[in-house]
Amino acid sequence: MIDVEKNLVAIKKKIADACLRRQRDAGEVAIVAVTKRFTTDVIGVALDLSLVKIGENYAQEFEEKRDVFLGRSIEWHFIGQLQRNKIKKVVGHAHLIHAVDSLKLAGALSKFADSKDVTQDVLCSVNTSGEVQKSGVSPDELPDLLRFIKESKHIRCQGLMTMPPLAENPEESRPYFAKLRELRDQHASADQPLRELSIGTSGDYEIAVEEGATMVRLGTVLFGPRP
Amino acid sequence: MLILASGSPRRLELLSTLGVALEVIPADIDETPLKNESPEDFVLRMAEEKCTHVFKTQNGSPVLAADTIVVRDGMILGKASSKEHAQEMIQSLQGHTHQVMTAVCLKKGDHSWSKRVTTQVTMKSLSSQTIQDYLGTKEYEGKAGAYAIQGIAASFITSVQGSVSSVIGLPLSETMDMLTEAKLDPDWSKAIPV
Repeated sequence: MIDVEKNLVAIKKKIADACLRRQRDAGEVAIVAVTKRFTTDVIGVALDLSLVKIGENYAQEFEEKRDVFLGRSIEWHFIGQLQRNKIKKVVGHAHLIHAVDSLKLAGALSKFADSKDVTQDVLCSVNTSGEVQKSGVSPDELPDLLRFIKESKHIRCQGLMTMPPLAENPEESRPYFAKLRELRDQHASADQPLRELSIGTSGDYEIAVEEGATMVRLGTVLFGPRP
Repeated sequence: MLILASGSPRRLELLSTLGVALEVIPADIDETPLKNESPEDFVLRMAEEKCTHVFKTQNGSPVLAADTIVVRDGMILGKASSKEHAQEMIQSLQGHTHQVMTAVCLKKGDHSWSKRVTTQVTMKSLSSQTIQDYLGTKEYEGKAGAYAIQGIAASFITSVQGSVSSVIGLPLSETMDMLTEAKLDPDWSKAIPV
């Protein structure tokens, strides 16, 4: 039996330590509990521990789980790659969509949100490593995507996210996190402040907090291996 | 789950070490002393107001809040806002004993506990060169009294009389007593030994 509470206490301490190293406020860093492929019981465990930001990756699974918890105060985060034909399952239901990775997707989201008259908060996903298999816009394409969202009526960009290349040593993620923060600082403006940086997962969240993460996406380090 | 109404990573770290599971919700309140308010009253009021502020917005979760101030000759030394301000504060602290006061407040259900702990801290006399070197490290930034007991300035401290953890930001012994009284004892199987 995995002691999720014990894991959470240890994670909070590591986040506090990372905040201390960078003189950051511990209240600036939120945990998104990533429950993809875990049962709804695991979401129940998270809620009991006041982890109300719940992250899901797949539109179908997201929709099914959301039905189970209707009426509960959950802040759903859609953190996976979103296919354009699944948009209706997510828009208006997710508090935040973490990975808008193309103008095409932004366009489709905007159109759907307009038709439903709902405002949808999103993050733009940036491919900071240049790996061809990684999703996200290139740093060069980011300004166009941000401008499109700024001009759209019903989607709002709250910040940026990135996925560094898989690595054994968490230190290897640091330059990609730092790069994203630099891009944020470069493109933030008064009407699009880009406050959120969704960086860091189970293996490298301490590095991410040092590099300015406002959201860390944690699954296995909280709940153990996925079924 | 217990809510910590403070964004101080140091407090979160102290409590996490004890195995206390916490949710952090910093309280944003006006931290200006009232006219003629003593440092003792001020620090206690700050902890209580932070606690109440967050407690009101939560549906019955217990809330713990704390506030720490540095006091020299009855004057509150605030957070260092500039290098000059820091220099002024270190200048006034060196070669003297000052007080670090931390107040803690806990609210659970209809109950409320609060306590103030005062610790005497003595800083040795420093040469102007040492003060300049210290200011060069920028450790003073954002620190009440322009120093942190666990930092470089630890090498200036000759004596701490009272609660060490209180100087860091939370008097753990007194806090534990409060948590025990409120039946919120930490579970030491979740504690993180140093």
